[in-house]
Amino acid sequence: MTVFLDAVHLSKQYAGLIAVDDFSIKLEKAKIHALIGPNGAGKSTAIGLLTGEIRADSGEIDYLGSDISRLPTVRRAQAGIAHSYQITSIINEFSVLDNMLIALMAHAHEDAVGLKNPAKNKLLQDHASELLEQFRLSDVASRLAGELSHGEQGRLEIAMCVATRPKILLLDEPMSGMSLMDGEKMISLLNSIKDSVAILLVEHDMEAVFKLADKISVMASGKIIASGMPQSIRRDPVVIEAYLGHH
Amino acid sequence: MISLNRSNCVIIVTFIALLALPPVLASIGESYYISIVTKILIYALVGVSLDLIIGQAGLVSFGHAAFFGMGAYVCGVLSHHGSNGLLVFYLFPGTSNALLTWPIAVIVCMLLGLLVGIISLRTAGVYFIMITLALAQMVYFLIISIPQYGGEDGLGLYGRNELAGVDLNDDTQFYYVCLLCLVFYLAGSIKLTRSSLGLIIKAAKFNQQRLVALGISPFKYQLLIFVFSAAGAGLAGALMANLTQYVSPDYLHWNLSGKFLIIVILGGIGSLFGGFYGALILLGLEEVLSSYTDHWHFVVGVILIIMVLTSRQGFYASITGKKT
Repeated sequence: MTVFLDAVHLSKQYAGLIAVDDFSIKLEKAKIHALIGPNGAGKSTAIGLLTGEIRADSGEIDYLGSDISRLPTVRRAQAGIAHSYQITSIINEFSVLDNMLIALMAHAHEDAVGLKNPAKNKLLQDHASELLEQFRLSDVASRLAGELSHGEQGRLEIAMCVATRPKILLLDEPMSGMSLMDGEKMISLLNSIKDSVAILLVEHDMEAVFKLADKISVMASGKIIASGMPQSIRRDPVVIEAYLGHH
Repeated sequence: MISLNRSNCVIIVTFIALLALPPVLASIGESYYISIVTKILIYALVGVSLDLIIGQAGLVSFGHAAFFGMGAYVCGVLSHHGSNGLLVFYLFPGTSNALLTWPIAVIVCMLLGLLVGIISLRTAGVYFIMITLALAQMVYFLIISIPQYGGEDGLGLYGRNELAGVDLNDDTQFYYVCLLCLVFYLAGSIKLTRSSLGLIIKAAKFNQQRLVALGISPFKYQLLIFVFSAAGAGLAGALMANLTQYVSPDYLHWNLSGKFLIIVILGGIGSLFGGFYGALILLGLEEVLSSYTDHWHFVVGVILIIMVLTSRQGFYASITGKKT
């Protein structure tokens, strides 16, 4: 097993309210680590601490052997930590293709950034079409991203993350509000990309979680209350009491 | 090949009209108007440059007069010393060669733009408006505090600059030079907006969070467009100093920054060509109305309100049917 990211003892308080308390997690290559728990448990805050959008009060994040807990978000992203948001964050005013071009120019095609018209850069265009094909977005490539269906927007956001060639993918409820069919597409997509990345998956759809996850951690009131293989989590009485029992 | 859609037709017709204007005016004996249209071209240049920041980067600069005025002052001061033979700041001789005064004016404005950009681009929204306004007013007070260059009275020039092969003192020739500057700057602006750099700058306007999460820090790209914008305004300032043969502190004043904003809004934010139509409308209205009434400001205000309410996308979008 290859540990890409090892976060230990992360904590965050807001004016006395403890949002995340002594949060530790290991993300391994080609593994999907699901993070579940009731609303307000601190899952999104935990992701924010990993991306740097939220500064941790304490704790350390080791990423490929170096401590990144002081790095700003943009540097962590450059280093290979990609993030899809709970509220889908794409460039609504751009076409799907232009969204992909931006994502590709962030890392894979940095040399394409210049005075040239990106429409005339064949390498860039080909790579974009390839990714759009992979994420089943070819048909809507010229549509405005803001006009896409919820499922297509979610796929576009993850396609953009993948375009930056990340080592870590932090997915905050990628399937929320999606139709059954879009959810199925997402599950097969995540399975198809997982080989080269370590994925942290925050998700409420338990069926999807049990289909995808190699490991599950359960959060409640800012703390991880249980962590283990899906089978053992499913049977854990503490987890059933805190979360699964409500479903 | 340029396709003949509506917006290209509008641009081509406008361009031909501008090319044909001097001989037409001369033939009807109204050559006086050439200077007014030259002024419109110069303001259009500022409009295009300001629209780059507002329309492409989504940042409203309320200090663009600083670059316009600085360009005028650099050109004016160099020309002033070129005529009186004294050294500029006791360091180097002045000149009235346009191939020196104009590029130097542009370079100084780019450096000023770099400085203002580095400070102001750390903010956005209302704070960006306020900080560009504040920095521009600092430039204004700095310049009027130099008595050698006229202080609040401004600085008169002894004729226009010299340009090999062209007589800039001839209004028609000067007009064509200004038109050429506008066309070149517009071409550069269009190239920039259609480039991958332009795409990133626009992405930052719509969703900075996503850009940062992808690992792109928009600051340096925004700074680049800000400096390019300052260059355009600076060139316009140098042309203005030549047109009026006088450099006024009014060129630096925030009143003028506001006027530039009105030009961009009237023409259509994000359309680039709108900069020209905005300048045409505003200066045209001023020219026409001020010959009828002393209270023309009021009338202009009413017309502007009506125009903004009826055509939110600006004049360029109205005539071309193109959304920006």
